[in-house]
Amino acid sequence: MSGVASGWYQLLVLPEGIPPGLVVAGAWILATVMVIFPVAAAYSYVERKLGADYQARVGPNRAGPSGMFQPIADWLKLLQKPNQALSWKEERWSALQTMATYSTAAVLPLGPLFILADTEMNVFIPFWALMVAALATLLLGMEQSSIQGWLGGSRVAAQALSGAFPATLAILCAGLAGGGFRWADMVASQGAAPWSWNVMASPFHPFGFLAFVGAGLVFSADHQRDLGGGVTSNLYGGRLALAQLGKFYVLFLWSSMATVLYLGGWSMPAFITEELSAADAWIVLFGLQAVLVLSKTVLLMFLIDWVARTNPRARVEQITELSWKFLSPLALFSLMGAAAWRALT
Amino acid sequence: MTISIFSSVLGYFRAVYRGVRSAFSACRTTLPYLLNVRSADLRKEVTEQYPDPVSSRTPDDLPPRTRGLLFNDIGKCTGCRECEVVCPVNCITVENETGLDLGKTWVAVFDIDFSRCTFCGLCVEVCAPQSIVHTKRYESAVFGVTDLIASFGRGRVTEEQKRKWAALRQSHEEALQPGGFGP
Repeated sequence: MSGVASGWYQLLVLPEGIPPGLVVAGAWILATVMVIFPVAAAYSYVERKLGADYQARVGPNRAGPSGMFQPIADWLKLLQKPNQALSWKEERWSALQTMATYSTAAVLPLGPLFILADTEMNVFIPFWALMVAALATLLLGMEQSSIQGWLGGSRVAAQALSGAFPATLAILCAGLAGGGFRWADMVASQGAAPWSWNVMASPFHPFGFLAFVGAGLVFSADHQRDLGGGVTSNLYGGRLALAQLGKFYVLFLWSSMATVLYLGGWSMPAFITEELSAADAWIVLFGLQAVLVLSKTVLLMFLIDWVARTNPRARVEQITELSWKFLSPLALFSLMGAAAWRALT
Repeated sequence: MTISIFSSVLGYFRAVYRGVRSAFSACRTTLPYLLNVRSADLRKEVTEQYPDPVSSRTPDDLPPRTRGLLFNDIGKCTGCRECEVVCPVNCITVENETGLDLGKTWVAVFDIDFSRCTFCGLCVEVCAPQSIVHTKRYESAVFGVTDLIASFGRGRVTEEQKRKWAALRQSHEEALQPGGFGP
């Protein structure tokens, strides 16, 4: 029972006979419904309002007071549309893409309550899963037999490939300071104060952080709705809703990974953790940890969004060029520097 | 002529510096908009509210020169085809026929295809009798593309009508002949 969903065993008094698989599945659904959906709805509203601010517009203002119910209205509208019938060839790649993207929810680093799989290589799992999702997107685009599908699929694959290299190096760079690739190890190696985060572990780690965030932008550059075209332009209704949620989810996942790798994750001052666990107030402790990591993640997402909204409509060759010619050398430099720093000090 | 390694490395760093500087100076420009400390000329947000009950605005609140759906007053229209010629997207179709009065054209067909119209307003500007105007109507959603064609023509003249009018004209001309029973 160690690790996997152990928080739920501590939180809920579960009878002995329940198999861990059921607990994990239930926790997965709870995590999705309780965390991802509400955060996605709230984030999409605030993001659209802020994006409108940057561009001197009003933004959503009609559904409810200052447009607050816009996400609900959008979702209701999307769900009203008839279900899209895909050919079985498109169906299998669509399913693979969805499964690969959301399989990462098992290792979503939102505190011990939400990490469902605890392995030695947790940090790399989302990364590989996103590569599989990019491959599935490419194949889905190829099956769509339309210009948008072909070009959009190739674009996603090219971006994922170019983002993968700096992302790997930046993960290794964080691992140098973290001393392990479990999320728990990664967090345990960092303190609550900003100067004990991984990003300050050596003079080279800030560059690794920059490279990681930049690689995330490269991965999720497709999440810009106003980019138009692409594989999603052949989808509608519930599938489009799922694809849009997926794009948001990738940005969210990547920001939470960056938070845990470099920005301290859910580590809180030791006395708070000790007091709460001594008092058996697990729900307060886990709740505080989730809120801490969520707020860091959302702040980072808004920072990314600020840059993305101000410099909109990047073309694919600009993105890949940024990744290959700038982020990759930067990540390499930070990894080598951090390794030398660790060897010498 | 070769470019030295030193200068190409220097060029790379210069390009990186320029890129980073341009991205972040752009971000610095948008920050005042977010924090609402922008200068007065930029303060106005330019989103116009859609006129409907939610925004409690009516079509009367639209600006006086609103380019809404076009309307042609066929009573004034002379069928001169200036609008048809000037239309950049060829959305106006005019067909004239001989009417009762030979001095006036009978505008049989005057169709405006709003699926092609760009609301540029050129037809309104060239219209000498000022028969074609922009209304303040703006909601034109329909279920079929062919429903977007607005017809203002008087309709085609049937053969029977042509014969009747010819006879009328003839009797009128006879009346005007010297020696007839006219003035």
